[in-house]
Amino acid sequence: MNVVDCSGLTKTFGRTTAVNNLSFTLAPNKITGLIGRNGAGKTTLLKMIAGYLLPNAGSIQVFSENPFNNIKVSANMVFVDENMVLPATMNLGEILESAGSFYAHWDHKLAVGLFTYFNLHPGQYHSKLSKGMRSAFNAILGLAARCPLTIFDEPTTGMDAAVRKDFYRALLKDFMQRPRTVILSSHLLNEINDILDDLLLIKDGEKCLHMPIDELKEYAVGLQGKEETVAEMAEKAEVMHWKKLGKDSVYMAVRNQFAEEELQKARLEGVAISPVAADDLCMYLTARNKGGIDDVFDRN
Amino acid sequence: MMSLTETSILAVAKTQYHYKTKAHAGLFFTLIAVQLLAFLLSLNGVGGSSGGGNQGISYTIKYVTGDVIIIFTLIWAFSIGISMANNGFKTDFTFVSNRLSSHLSSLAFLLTATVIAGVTATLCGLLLRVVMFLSHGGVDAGPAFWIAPTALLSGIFAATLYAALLSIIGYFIGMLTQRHPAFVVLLPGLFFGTLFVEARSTGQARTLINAIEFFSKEGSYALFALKVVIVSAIVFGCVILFFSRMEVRK
Repeated sequence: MNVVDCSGLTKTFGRTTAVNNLSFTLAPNKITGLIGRNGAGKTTLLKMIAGYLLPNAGSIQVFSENPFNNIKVSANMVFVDENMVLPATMNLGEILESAGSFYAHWDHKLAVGLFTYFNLHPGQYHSKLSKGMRSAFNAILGLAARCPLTIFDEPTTGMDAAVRKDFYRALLKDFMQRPRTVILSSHLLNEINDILDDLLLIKDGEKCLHMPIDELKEYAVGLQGKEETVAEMAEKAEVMHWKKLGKDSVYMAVRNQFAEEELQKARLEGVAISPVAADDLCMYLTARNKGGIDDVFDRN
Repeated sequence: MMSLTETSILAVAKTQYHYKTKAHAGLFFTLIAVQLLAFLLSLNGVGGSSGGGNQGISYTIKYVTGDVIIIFTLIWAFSIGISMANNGFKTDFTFVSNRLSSHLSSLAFLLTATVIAGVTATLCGLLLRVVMFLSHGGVDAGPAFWIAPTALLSGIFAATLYAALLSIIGYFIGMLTQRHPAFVVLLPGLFFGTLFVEARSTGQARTLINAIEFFSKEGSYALFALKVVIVSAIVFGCVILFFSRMEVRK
């Protein structure tokens, strides 16, 4: 059984289409990274999965049910983002207690452990916390709830590097003890690369790529060499990125569909072949112009 | 895979109710403040006081009633209805919730709050009598001073029902403004607009008066209670019906 099953999902706000004809499925007990640029529709998609928003077209199933207004989906799902609304009149200790009363698998020991580790105090108030501390507290709620579907929408906003690292490690450790389906959205793939099983890349509300992270490493290849040699190879492949390096030298990232002999031949012609890092690949795939920011400066 | 939790709307609503009473405990402080203020205002008498003199004796008549306390309490009840609607969905959907469980837990909270408000408002009125009695030497209080327990209970009963009705109406209005911010302007405009137009053309705000008299002129307690319950149920039913497709945290 798939945990999330979307087909032809579309959501518009006025004239902007936030999510456009998106279809994918998420298998249970995997950590999926939802990657996309700002405004790609990540949050809208996650809010539809959480049952907060209604799609304009298409269907969405979570645990084989429509998530909108669904108590069963809500009981088995937790949605963590920086805008979690918590009562201003309750301190963090009281909120933790209350949160625990909602979830069947709530792990209070873990919650308190993380709480102390991240230097939070039960007497503090959510609205008075710094941005990073608030994100840390929200993340604790998400981890300790131990829901079969755990959604983190940009959970590390405002956290410093050390706290971010700790959070990802805590997520991975807890995931290994209690496997569940996790969706982690971010625009920083390199940070979460190591803990992901799958990657779902979206661009302008549409699906760009959905594959296991291991396959992604072989998806593309970087070629660097003389312009004419590389250009010749470019004709046979899908170019994702093209950059001039010097007077006669270029670098391009292409989809790796070459036969081994072709690559061997290229090597002999002085082309350097390198793997393309996952985050670079995502950046190339979601770029609006092939040349990137350099184009703006190279126009004259 | 982790086993899925099966739950019922009522079980969730109960948890939400406990959560809401904790989160909104502060509203009871405002109730105390509102009633205290009304109490102090009432001490000096309400309405026009009249006086006169005859054969060297002058007198002043002051009307001291607990009405202001009740009215203030009803305004408070209306406002907590609005504030529950404003916070409701956003806060509830942080944890486990659906629309119905959110409404039910809000309703349960509002009913609890209005019972407390009804009791305290009536007792506050009683306190006013005692203070008046003591401050005027405690003599010649007359037979009207004594309130029979049944009368006290019916006072609590009526105050609670009125408060409950108003809080549910407040909740409905709050939900409307959540649906579309234009209602923040539209609803008061409509309310005062009709009041004004009617008052100009007929000299009386008939619609409002009729609406109030529909309840206040009812002689039988049972019928009065029935009227309040039915109207509240209709309003609450509209809430459930109208806002079942409303999106959260858009």
